[in-house]
Amino acid sequence: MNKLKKNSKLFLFIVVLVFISSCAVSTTTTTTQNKTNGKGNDTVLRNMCLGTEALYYNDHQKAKRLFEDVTTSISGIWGDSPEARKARSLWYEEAIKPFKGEPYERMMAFYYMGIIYLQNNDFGNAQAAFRQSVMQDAFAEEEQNRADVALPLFLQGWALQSQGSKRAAKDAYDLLNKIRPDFETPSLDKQPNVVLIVETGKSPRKVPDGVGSYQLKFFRGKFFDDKAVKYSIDNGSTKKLYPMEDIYWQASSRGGRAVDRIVNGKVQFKETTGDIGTALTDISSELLDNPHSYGSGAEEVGLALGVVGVASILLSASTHSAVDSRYWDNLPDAIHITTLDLAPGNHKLNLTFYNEQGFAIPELSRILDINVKDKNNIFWFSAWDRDSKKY
Amino acid sequence: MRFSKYIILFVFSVIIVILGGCAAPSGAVDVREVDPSVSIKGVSGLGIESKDIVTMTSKMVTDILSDPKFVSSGKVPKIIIDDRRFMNESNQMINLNMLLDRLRIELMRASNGRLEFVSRENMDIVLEEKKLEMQGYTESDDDYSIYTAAADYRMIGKITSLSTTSNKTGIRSNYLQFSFEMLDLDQGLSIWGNIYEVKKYGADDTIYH
Repeated sequence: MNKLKKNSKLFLFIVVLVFISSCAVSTTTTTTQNKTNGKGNDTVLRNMCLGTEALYYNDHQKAKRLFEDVTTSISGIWGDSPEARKARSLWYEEAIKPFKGEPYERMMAFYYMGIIYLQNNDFGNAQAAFRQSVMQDAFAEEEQNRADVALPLFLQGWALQSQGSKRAAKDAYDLLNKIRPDFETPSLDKQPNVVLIVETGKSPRKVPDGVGSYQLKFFRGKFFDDKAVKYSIDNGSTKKLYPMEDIYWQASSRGGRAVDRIVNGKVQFKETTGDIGTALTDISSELLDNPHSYGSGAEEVGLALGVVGVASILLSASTHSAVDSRYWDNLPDAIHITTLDLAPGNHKLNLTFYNEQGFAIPELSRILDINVKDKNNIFWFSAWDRDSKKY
Repeated sequence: MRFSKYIILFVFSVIIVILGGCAAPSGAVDVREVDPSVSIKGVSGLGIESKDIVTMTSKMVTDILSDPKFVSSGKVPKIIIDDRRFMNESNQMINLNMLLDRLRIELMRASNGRLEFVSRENMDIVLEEKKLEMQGYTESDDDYSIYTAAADYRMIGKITSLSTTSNKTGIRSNYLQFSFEMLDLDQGLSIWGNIYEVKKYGADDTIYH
């Protein structure tokens, strides 16, 4: 009997070792693939961030190449794959999957692609990119927040109008009027020649929450004060840009994700196996501590239950229920826009940024030289760009 | 002793399950050359791909060359095919030159001189050459003419799309319609037209919903 007890303890020890080593393997794989090994898992995310950075530095060729890669990738159907299977399995966290972004991130990728096409006077592809941008928002779980994205809708209309597709442009502007009734859409008979787009603030944040990080929560970006923008042309009157899009709202108003149901299943499995394991090890301890109170064979039963209990606890510990909290961290918080009709030639554009209390932020404000052509001048600025744009 | 056997069996099963969970295929695919007129399984979206371009242009070429208005009218029609009046109103980003260049070149080759194509988009370099000739810097073997060819027809077209999404299943469908028309530049009549359409649907893995 003592020999059996000794062997069983040995097995129990081996089980513990195997489980611990397996946990270590799966955790290492996840961490390495997400952050450092460069095997493509984060390619889309990396290119999103680099693309925005290239726009900040006015490197449009690089930005175009990067956003073409991003939009081509996210336009594809991402079906069953080894990574997808792992992300659904109990032993890996969601972040093992190749990054495709949440709908608001995909929306913004197509928005930047559209801006680049628009600046290159490629109106057909610009309107297609903005249309795709609008479509990304159609995945909102909460019906009232589906396709409530205004900025790409306006730019889609603008690109269609520039292309000469007036009827389709009118459709886009009509849809825009439903969600931004106070925004004055351009006349279809005479299109203004300037669109001024200014981005403020910093990216919404994805934060994992709950025990085991199984809940994905969105928070507004931090460490910025710029909330509003005013402009003047050639020291003329100062006007406020229209706050067309709140990116944090787009990130946080989507509702639950389908993948959350998979994550919740993992959490339930983790809790159930943990509870069973605890109960079985409690019974096992009782049987092993007081074998004579339970008759013959109690020790063997106690040992067996102990092994199963420990296995169950370790199964629970090996279950990875953490959500994917990687995010595009150089997006803006909000985007402001206006259209202008300016005489072709050189002008001084004065941009002043304001905080929530209405005080100007001098370190962000700037005066820029712009050269206006007779049509389709798309001036895009970010409060946080690294280099003042030269147009 | 019986319990000992069960314990060994249990431990063995657990190890197999765990090791199975750790195995990961490399995911590498060797570079292969494929026929552009076929789809590659697992590498596609809901937009158009090389297969659609190849099929569409072949269909247009066959249709135009079988139309007596173009090939049996007694004179060689001069046609412009470029992107100036080809509107993209769809949700697909596409390099229109890929489609229109292929169509023009296939028509040029298949018509064997029965159709001629006016390169209006390259008019600047044609005029530059004429200017040099007029100024006496260059000399042509042919009779000098200050005129270039006038076109009889221009190909115009539009790409439109209609997409739907099911939030329950994550399935997206996309219908794309390519409409082509031949505009008579003398009369302003549209004398020929054809439509190519493609509909695709698919859904991402649940982890992306």
